[in-house]
Amino acid sequence: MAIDYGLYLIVAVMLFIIGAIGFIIRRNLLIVLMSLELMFNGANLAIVTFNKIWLLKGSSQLDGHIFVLVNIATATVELAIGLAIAVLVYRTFSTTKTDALDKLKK
Amino acid sequence: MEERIYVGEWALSLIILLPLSGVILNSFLLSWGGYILDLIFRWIINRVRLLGLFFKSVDKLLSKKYPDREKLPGIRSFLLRDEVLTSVSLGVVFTSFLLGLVLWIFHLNPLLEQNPQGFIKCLLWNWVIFNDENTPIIEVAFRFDRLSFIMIMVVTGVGFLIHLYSVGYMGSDKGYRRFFIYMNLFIFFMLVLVMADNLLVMFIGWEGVGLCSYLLIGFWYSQSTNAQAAKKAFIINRIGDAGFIIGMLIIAYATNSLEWVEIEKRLNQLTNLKIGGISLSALASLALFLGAIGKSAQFPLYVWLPDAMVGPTPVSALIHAATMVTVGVYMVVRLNFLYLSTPSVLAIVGGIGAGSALFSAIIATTQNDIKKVLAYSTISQLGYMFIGVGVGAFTGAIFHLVTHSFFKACLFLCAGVITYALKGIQDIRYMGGIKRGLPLIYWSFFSATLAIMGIPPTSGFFSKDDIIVKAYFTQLYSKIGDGEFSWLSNLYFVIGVVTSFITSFYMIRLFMLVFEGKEKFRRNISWQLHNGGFSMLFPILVLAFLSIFGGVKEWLEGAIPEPEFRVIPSKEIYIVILSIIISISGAYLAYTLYREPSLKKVRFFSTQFPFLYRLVYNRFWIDELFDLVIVRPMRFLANLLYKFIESLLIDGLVNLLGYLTLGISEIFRLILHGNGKLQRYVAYITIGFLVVVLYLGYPVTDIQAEMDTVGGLYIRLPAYPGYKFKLDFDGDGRWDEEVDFKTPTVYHKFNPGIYNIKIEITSNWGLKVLKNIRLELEE
Repeated sequence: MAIDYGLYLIVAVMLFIIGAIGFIIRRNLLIVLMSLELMFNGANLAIVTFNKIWLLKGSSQLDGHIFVLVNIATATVELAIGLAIAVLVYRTFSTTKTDALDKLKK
Repeated sequence: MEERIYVGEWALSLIILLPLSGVILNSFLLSWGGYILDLIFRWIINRVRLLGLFFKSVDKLLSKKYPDREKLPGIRSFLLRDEVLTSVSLGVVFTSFLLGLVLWIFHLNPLLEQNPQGFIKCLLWNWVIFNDENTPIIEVAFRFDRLSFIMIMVVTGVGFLIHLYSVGYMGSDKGYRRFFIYMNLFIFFMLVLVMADNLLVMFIGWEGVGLCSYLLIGFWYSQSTNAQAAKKAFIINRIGDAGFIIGMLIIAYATNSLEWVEIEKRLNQLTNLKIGGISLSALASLALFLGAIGKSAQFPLYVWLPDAMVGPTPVSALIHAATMVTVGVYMVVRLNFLYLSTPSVLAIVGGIGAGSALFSAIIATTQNDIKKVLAYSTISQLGYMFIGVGVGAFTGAIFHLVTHSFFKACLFLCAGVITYALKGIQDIRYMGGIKRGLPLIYWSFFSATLAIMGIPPTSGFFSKDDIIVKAYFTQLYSKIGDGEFSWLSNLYFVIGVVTSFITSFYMIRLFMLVFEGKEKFRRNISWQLHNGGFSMLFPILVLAFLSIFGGVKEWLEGAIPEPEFRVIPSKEIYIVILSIIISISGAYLAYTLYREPSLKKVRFFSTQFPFLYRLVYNRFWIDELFDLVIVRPMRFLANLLYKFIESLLIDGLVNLLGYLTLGISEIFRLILHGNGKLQRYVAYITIGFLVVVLYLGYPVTDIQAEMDTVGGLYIRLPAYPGYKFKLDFDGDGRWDEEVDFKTPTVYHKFNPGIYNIKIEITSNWGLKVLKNIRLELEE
């Protein structure tokens, strides 16, 4: 199969950049969390692609794939915690706008 | 011939994909599809003259015909109407049904004998591919053979009728569109399940129908009892599904495959491997049967089904009576070769089936909610099917599955009409006398009742007696051990007959209380079915017709391989007559008890044996037992873990970390002033990160030069991967040499003089930097 794995990497980078921009400019806490997931998945896709390229070059190691599985599990846990935090934020500040969360300044 | 198979494969995948496309199309129209269509139409109207004129005229016509409150453009408002959604979702199911029929005519019709293989396989794509060549590919493939054809007919046929019924039943509901999307999704997953070519694809359907069941039980989710019931169904099914996964893993481990054909070929590998004296095939089939217990609501995991009756009645009819709950039977029949290799497991299957049949039939005699009676009756009838499977009467079990789907769906739909007409009353103590108001429903219900009682010549008679007779004559259990368990078949036979007595009793009780006697409800009911009278009545009449005349076993004959039965015809006749007499006597008992309006005789029973009555009325306290044995200890343990492990240890640690961070950040806050907005900080971090990355991409200009004695200069360039270099030795503006990182050392000979050597370094990021070296060479 002649597939240009560079395209996979481009998709990965795009995912990551969309996620990063969303993370910075969106003001809804839930969408910020979703952007975080996008970044995660961009990174995961990149790792898997590199592993695939490696496999094509004759290696038989699947470390990248396994690492990504671990990553996905971690991302799930992280999202669960993130959602819990979002709920708590909503309870405390009664808003999910990130603009309101400037308590770090005091 | 070949071309025909090709077409067949396409039709095969279409059968499955059509309901899915219904789901997608309707969801699309429901969400932002309307707006996109609107945009497209507007664009066409503005840009393309001819088409635009056409669309405009259609638009005007439609907006005259369907004036809309929201003043949407005509085409869009037309596409967003309920009629469009209804016809899409009914249409796809019906087309699937027709396609299934066409496929059968072209490929599997035994008369034509065009397909000696007996099945068509359609490979959609390879799902999991391993590098290891010994491990097979897991395919997303579907299979069309006589068994799956029967199931497709039941799913899409009965499914279509119930869809049609729902048009009337759910007509005034706010969630009308959501309902039809869920129903189509259910049909899709159900078709995936019954047409799967391997266990994993079947599992997708298995989980999918579970999901749809959950969504539809909790359809009116704003009431907490409904949400609770949905959760209960889902969680209890998890137990069964865990069994299914374990069984699947065992089979995959031992036979290295999941396809039906491959498993059958390599059955030896399963039976030969043993753990602690038990063969893996027994373990696998037991584990898979646990899945069947959960999905088909058998003892002890049946408790979710009665609760599931809080969902809309069409759902109870389609999912919790006719199709989804029967997939356990289908699965065991599909894996008949596996189960036949371990008769002892089949004995357990039959035992669980017999237990559930008897147990839930007993419970059904005292319940007062019309739908709950029918739910317990469903469990009982499923128990029958498992008796059939357990004794090896696979054809009988599937046959009973089909006829049960007719008569039970009919009963449920009738119950739906009654509760609809009585504006929500479900308690049979407040019904009575409905015969006068709804004569057609009365006759339909009556014919379905005859079918479930097994009165000849209704369909239920043929299927039920097939199971009972084969339970008596089965040879399977004499193969277990030294034949010391062969009495089991007699036991199952006796339980089957006793259950048919109780079945007749509770069905006639239900029938008498609902339709006969005085009217006990105190509301003014106008006996007119409101909108959609046809859509509700037509399916009921068709199903009533089928429950009487649907008992045609011939087209099932030979679809499933079966063990041999030594049926003695002279004895068989006695058994059949016995079972008819017994079921009629049960009916007669109920008739005499419930004929009187005062129900004196019934009260006599409940007062004479109060404990027994309360035991049955409270469903043997099984729910409470589960609550006490499983739910409470679980809650207690969870509380314990929450209070000590979670709150103290984990939260303590996390809080400690938090306080630590707070403390440190307190210090930093004193030094720096931010605006406190985290995202601003993240932006700063990102910019900083980009700077670092750019710095990393900035070419390294680490050049070393070395002179030799004859005026030659070695230039060692930084050999990082991807770097390219251009060199200009004499300073005339033209590049003299271009190299890359693979040849990092350049040699050039100079005559004496002053040189301005220019080196352009391009990094792997494409960034360029120019480096000048001044060289003064004396003689």
